[in-house]
Formats: sequence, C-alpha cells, structure tokens
Amino acid sequence: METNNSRTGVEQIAQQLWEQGSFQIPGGSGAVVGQAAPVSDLSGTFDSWVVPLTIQDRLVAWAQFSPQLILRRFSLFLRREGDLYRCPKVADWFDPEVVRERVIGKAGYHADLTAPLLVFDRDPSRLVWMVEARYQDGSRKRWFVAGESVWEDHPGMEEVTGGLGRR
Amino acid sequence: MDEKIKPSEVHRIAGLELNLLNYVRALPRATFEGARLETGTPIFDPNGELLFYRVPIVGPDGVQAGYADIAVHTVFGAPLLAVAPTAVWDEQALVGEAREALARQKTTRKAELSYDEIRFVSYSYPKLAVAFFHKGKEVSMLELKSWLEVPPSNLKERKPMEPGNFERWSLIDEMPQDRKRRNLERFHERLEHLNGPELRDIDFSVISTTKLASVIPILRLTDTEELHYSTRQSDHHTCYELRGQETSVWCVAASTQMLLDFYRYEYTQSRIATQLGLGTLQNPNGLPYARDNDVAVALNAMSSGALTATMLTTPPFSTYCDEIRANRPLISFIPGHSRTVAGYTESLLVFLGLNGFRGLLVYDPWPPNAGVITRWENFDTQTYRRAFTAHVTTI
Repeated sequence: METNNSRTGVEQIAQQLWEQGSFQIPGGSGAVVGQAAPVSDLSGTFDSWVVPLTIQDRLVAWAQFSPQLILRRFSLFLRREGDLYRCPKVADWFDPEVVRERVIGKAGYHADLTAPLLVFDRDPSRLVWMVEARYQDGSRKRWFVAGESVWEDHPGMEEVTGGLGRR
Repeated sequence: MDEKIKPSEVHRIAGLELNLLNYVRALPRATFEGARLETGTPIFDPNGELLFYRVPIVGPDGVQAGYADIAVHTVFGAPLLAVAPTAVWDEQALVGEAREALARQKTTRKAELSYDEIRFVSYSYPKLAVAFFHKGKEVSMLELKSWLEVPPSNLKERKPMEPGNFERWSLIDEMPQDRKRRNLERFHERLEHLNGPELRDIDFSVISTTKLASVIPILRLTDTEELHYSTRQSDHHTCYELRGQETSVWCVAASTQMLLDFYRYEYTQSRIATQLGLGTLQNPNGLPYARDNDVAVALNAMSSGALTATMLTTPPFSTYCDEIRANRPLISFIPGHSRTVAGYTESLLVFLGLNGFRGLLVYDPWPPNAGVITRWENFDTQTYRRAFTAHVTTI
C-alpha cells in the first residue's frame, strides 16, 4: 500500500543500496537519491515506487520497487562519463506541472485536464504520465507523456506488443 | 596475465575462501568457527611447476579440523580446489612414512639411493605421491600411502588428459590450450573479486563469521556475464548499443534493430517496421501477439539467412545465461513490451534458504527516443512471455 511510511522506507533502501555500491552509474558517482514517487496502473491502483537518482537537473537513473519494497529494476540514463547532457531533465519526469504543460501543447488550452498521474502503459517498466482531457463538446482523450514524448492513447485494442493494433 | 599466484598470497586466499564458505554455512560451523590455517604444503606438478598448496586447518580446540587445497597455478580455473573437513594432513608424518618405504626398497636395489630433496607431487591430479630428488634429478616417486613406485608417463601411446589408472601425467602440460586460457581468465576473475578493496586489508587467517559480517553487504559474489566482442573474456565489452524506440509503439522494431546492429546489419527502425508490418513513423502500430513469430522470420530475412532465429515461450533464467555465455543477445517479450537482453548476474551466495538475486541486463528501448539500460532487472519479479534467440547460421 502507498503510505508515507513506505515512501520513507523505500527512499532509505534506495539510499542504502546507492551508498553500498549496489547501484553503479558509470560516471555518476555524484548522483543524489531523490524522493520516491508512487506508480499506479491505469485504474489508479498503486503498483510500485520509482526513486530517481539525479545529478544537477538531470535524471541519470531510477530504481523501481514493488509495494513490498523489493527492487524490481535499476535503470540507467547516464551510459558513460560525459554524457550527462544526453540524460532527460528531472523536471520532465518528476514535475507534474511540466507534464501538464506538455499535454496542453498537444491537447490545446480549451481542454479541461485532470491532474497528471504517474502510471505504466502495459508493463510496469513502461512509465508514463497520464492526463485525461475533457473537451467542450463532451469528448475525452487520454494523453500519455514520457519525458519529451507526448501521444494520445487508444485504449481497448487487441493484445499487442508495443501498443496499438493495426488500424 | 600471470599463470600463478604468489605463494605468499595463498594463505590469505585460503582464509578468505574458507571464511566465505563458513559464512554461508557450507562448512560445519561448530568445527570451523574460530579455526585457523596452518602453513601449507606445496604440491608440485610432475613437470616441476608448483600446482597448489594443501593447507591444514586447526579447530578452536587445537585439533585438526581438515584441510583445504588452494591452487597456485591458474590451470584449475579457481583458487579453491577442495575442502576436506575432518581429514587429517600431517606433512611430517607422511614424509617419515615415505622415507621408511624408500629404505625398505634398499634390499631390492644394487646401489643405495641417496637424495637431497623431497617433494609432494600430484602425479595424476588429485592423486599424490612423494618424490625424492638428488641434485635436482628424480630418484624415486612413491604413491602416497600405497608407497608403490609411480610409473612414467605413457603419453606417446594415449590421448592427452586420458591417463591410465596408474601412471604419472602433467595436468599443466596436457590440458588443451583453449581450456587453459579460459581457466586463466576465470581464475583471475575470481582473484579480482577476492582482492577487492573491501577485503584486501582484513586478516582472514582465522575463520569467523564476524570477519565478513561487516563487509558482506558490499561484496559482489556473483556470476556475471555480458556481451563481449567475442567469447574471449579478455576482449572488450560492452559490445552492444542501446536504441530508443522512435515511436511510442515501436519497441519491437527497436529491439530488432539492437539485435541486428550487434551482428552488423544496420537498418533504420522505419525499415524494420516495414518488414514487421508496424506502420510508419507518422502512423505506427505495435505487433499483435498472434504475430510474435514474425520477429524470428524478420531476423532471418534481414540477415539474408545468415541468422537463424528461434522463438521461445516463457524461457527460464538458464536460457538467458546460456545465450549470453555464447555471446548472443536475445530479444525479450514481456506483456505488452519488447526489450533486449545483453547480460545476466546471479548471486553465488544463498542465505538461509533464500534464493540469491538473479538479474538480467536489459537494453530497454523505453522511454521513446531515449531508452534505458536496466542493470539489473530482478528476474523473479518480472513476467517473461517470449524470447528470441539468434545465432549465425553455420554450414
């Protein structure tokens, strides 16, 4: 369950794993463990925690933990020393306001937007922010944001690897 | 790389390996906790090179608790050769018995044998003998305990490494070169772990769990393998590149691109998408489950038949290990997503019945236009649907 206690717990575990060298980031020894963010499925049910590791304003890695605080994966954006500029900005992934702005850029200013929710698309490793847009004509669209990429989701398609069946 | 470790290092390595075994309860703790290592006996190969040390272990009560064989020569592939709890190794007593046995042979010889050096020789590993030398030349070699004269090598009439029941042969000389080279690499890999900064300065001459308790969380006692330029461990790695998926639904195309890139078939994702029926950059789509096998077909077609690809359903961890050891990347399908696998790691320590960590090195094309390298993905918390292996077609 998502609680403040488990948030503190997962941050402590991530910090411990980082300090004892279980997480290795090539050229990223100066990384800082950030605040854990809850990840939900598309229905809003809590699924996991994601903990960012950052250098300055860049996201160099993240770790994902199960609700039982078991490490699921540790993933690197920083692939080698000197490549910091290639890493995404922390705000692109962890600032809901930045996410919201990106959706407005696609959906338009006239749509009514829900608060961004960090979810996963199909598999928990495919993290995305979900924003639902309600338009004046009553129609609704679901937008996904992953870093700088924004796209409209089309739910209810057949089982497909990647997403979207042939249309 | 050096083919031997320094004899001065042997005592420390022996202590460390035994401490690790004791820590994971692979040794009877009542006997070994608090035990210490005595000075080891050097054991030689018939070709004269130092092969390993037999190190007696004395329990906390002062009684011998067994012995350990610790390699000096890299031909073994690992420093710890064997541990014999409860067995007794008394070098002086054995030398005494060997001298008496040689003296008894006097009656059958015309001239008395004189010697100025005695060595323990592994005449047919792991069988031991005591050899007597005079001015550097062997005068007799008696098998341990039976005290029978060990016959010379019969290599001219047999294949290497296939000796008869009772003849001397050299493990160092007869082992094939490629196996020796692999063992050398494995040996040094293990030494590298054992000589890590967290272990270097600890005195391991006494076996005790408390010695390791402070450092065990930071030890990386794992079997780990990643793609290399070739199957030679000394070759550079990581010989693999990440490709971010160019649309939100092209994880299959990006995964296929990574695998083809590894074999130097350079295609754009758009071209691969066309082959797989994944639409265009402007109007992309994913791969329906019913068409999973199209990936295997595409790998074969886009390499003009040079790659033979196979689709596997819910493969076990060992499949990934086997492929990576053979230096071949895999495409891995999990529900709704595709990635590639370029390495694995497995904890070699098992604590209190719990499984050690098993992880995959995943080159994940997600997020779009970026991708991440996941080091590691916990194999036991992920659902694996399909895997695609590919190997170069041989004729």
